[in-house]
Amino acid sequence: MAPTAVSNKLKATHRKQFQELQEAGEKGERERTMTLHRLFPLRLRQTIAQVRLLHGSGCGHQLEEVAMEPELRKETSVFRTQVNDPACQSERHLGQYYTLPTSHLHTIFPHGLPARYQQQVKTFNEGCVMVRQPALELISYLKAADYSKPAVRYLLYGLKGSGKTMSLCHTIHYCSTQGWLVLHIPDAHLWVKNCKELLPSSYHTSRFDQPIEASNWLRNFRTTNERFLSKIKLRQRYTWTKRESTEKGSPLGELVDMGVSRVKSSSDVVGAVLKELRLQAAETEESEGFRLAVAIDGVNSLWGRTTIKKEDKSPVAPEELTLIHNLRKMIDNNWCGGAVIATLSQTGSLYSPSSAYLPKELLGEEGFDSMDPFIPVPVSNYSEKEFESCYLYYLDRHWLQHPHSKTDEGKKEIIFLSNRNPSVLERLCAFL
Amino acid sequence: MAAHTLNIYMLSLGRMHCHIYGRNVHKALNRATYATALSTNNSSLNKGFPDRGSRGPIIRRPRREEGEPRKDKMPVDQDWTAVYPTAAPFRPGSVPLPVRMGFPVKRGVPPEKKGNLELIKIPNFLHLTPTAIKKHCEAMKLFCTEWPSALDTNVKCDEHFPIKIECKDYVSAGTSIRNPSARIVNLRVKLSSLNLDDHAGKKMAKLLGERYYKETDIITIITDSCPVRQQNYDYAMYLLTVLYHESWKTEAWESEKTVADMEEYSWEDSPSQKNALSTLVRMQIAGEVEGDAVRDKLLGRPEVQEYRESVIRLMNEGESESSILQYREAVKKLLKL
Repeated sequence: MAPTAVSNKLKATHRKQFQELQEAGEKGERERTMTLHRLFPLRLRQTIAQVRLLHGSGCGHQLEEVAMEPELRKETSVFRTQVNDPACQSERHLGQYYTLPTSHLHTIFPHGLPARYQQQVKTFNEGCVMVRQPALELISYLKAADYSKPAVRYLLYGLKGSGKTMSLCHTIHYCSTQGWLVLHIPDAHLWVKNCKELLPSSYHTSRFDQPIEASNWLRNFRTTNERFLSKIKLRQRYTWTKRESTEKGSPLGELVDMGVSRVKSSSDVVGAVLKELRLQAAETEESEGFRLAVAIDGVNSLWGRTTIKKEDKSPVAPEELTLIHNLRKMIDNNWCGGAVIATLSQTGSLYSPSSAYLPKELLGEEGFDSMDPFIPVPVSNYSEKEFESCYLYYLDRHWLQHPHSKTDEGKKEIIFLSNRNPSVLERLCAFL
Repeated sequence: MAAHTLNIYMLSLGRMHCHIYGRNVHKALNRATYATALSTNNSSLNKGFPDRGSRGPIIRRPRREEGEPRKDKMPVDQDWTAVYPTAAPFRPGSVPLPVRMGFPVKRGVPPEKKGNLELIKIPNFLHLTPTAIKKHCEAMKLFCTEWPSALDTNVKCDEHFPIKIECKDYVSAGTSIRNPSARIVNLRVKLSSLNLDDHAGKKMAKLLGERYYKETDIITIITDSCPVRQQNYDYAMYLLTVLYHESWKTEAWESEKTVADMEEYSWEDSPSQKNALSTLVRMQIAGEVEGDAVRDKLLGRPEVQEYRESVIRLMNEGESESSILQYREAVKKLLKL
């Protein structure tokens, strides 16, 4: 029953391909595997493997088929790796995709991933991140650093669309899996432009509050760091109004909840949270200490210009915004027990030329002096190997539908058009 | 008197009459011939031209055949200066080049040179080929003196004559030999050839502003405010002298020079140095006593020197991939990663 039913399942075209495969099989094992991979995508391969098993049992080629199976698995994992823990990844896995577990996707990255990548995750039903050299380098630095010394600042820089934000997310994933507390600001540019509500700060008269952005961020912070919220206790008493205050010794979660519910004082809550974390990160591991990772995307906005205007139409300087002021304090290396990982971004930045990507250009004099000394980590376009695996991944996910894109010539065209730039490649393949 | 005039009038009248008569007779004859002979030919063979009467027919020289254009008869080793001895408009027959010029029509090519007004309109330098210029130089040599034999290289010229003056003379065919542009004097001198120390050099550069080009280290002073060339030359030399003496002086307000005024980045007392020192101090933490001795010791370390070099390079030369990588290595060593 089985062979005839299964072969009825195969269409006529598939039967032809199958015959070709058998002919290739006469030539040799290697030829057979190559033809197999050329002709059939993954799912069909599994069907064929079953078919051949069934046929083989009839023809007596059983052993060969069984030997084929593990080879199949090995061939398909050229662009994928099963090592999903960033801590265990090494140079061997360069260029390969590892899967982000869905639970992590929701907790660690409620707001962190780039928009287009989030759409891709929804389409493909899985989040796969490529293991690339800049991220591995950063992770090795983080592993080797001494956390009793002041926080080291790392800066990811590179051309537009070369993968800085994704490398940052990869590093954040590592930090999370290692049990660090991650302070992720997904795009600092959002805090200096398009502010709907600007309140004068109650704490400091010359500064301005941004309640909406602050409460949004606090909500996401709460999602990311649930387990720390009850463990960390406040060292100081914070008075919000005459009647409300948060006592010393209460858990951080209470403070965060208050900030989310009482939107007016949320910017000051953010400031308080940052201060507490900064003071407490210096503790050693034994006395319930933790490591703090401050991850900021688009750090050049902290020292640039803003498009926010006061009521008399004069522009607001970044220092006059409470959120920015507090964030700048985090970047100083006067605290220990963690690291500051930042990305430069020209894409959302204001008043900077679109061809600028080097650190000093985008940071400016003031920014450079604040970040100095930092370790710049360059992020470049895909290498040959990385491009190969990206291409194979898209093929595997059936993202490349156009028949010409599956040929060698089509691949060369894609390389030419995108210059192996990850974001351009992604947008290009969306059309194909 | 009156009779005399009358006579003249009579004569003239008479002549006129005869004239009229003659014509009428002539015409009558013509008519007669036309009526009887039925021929279309005019006996005078006018060919459609207006009748010139007794003046006679218009004598047109018969059209000559045009000869071969000159370019076809040119030998390869000819003397081009004979074809174009002076500035002359473009003659398509004299220039043996297949030149095309003009806007092409749709699906066409630019028009050829024959009868091409565009080529005639533009200035051409066909009279200034290298051979022609050599001939000009030979002719002018009679009026020149010998170049001094000791100044055979540019370096020697710069050494002995650092100041270079450039003036232009204008010749044109016109009613006046004067040209106001001839009064402009261009003075060029290298800053390094002047006897200036560090402060004086920087002050001179600031005083000159745009007139000083840092890449080639040349000061250019162009004077045209006076009507006579001699006056402009004197003014340029005066300016140079004044600048030189002023830049040696130090004024009281020069002590207020800020960091933004500095031409080059200096690491000492910069925020970068402060950051680096404070980081290092924090890294040492307990046990070390604060003080100048510690600071100097830290500054003397090789990593710090390397860091200093890389920051200076970044600031002065601007950013590039290599300078950023050098900075990275220096910071890694500093922070002991």
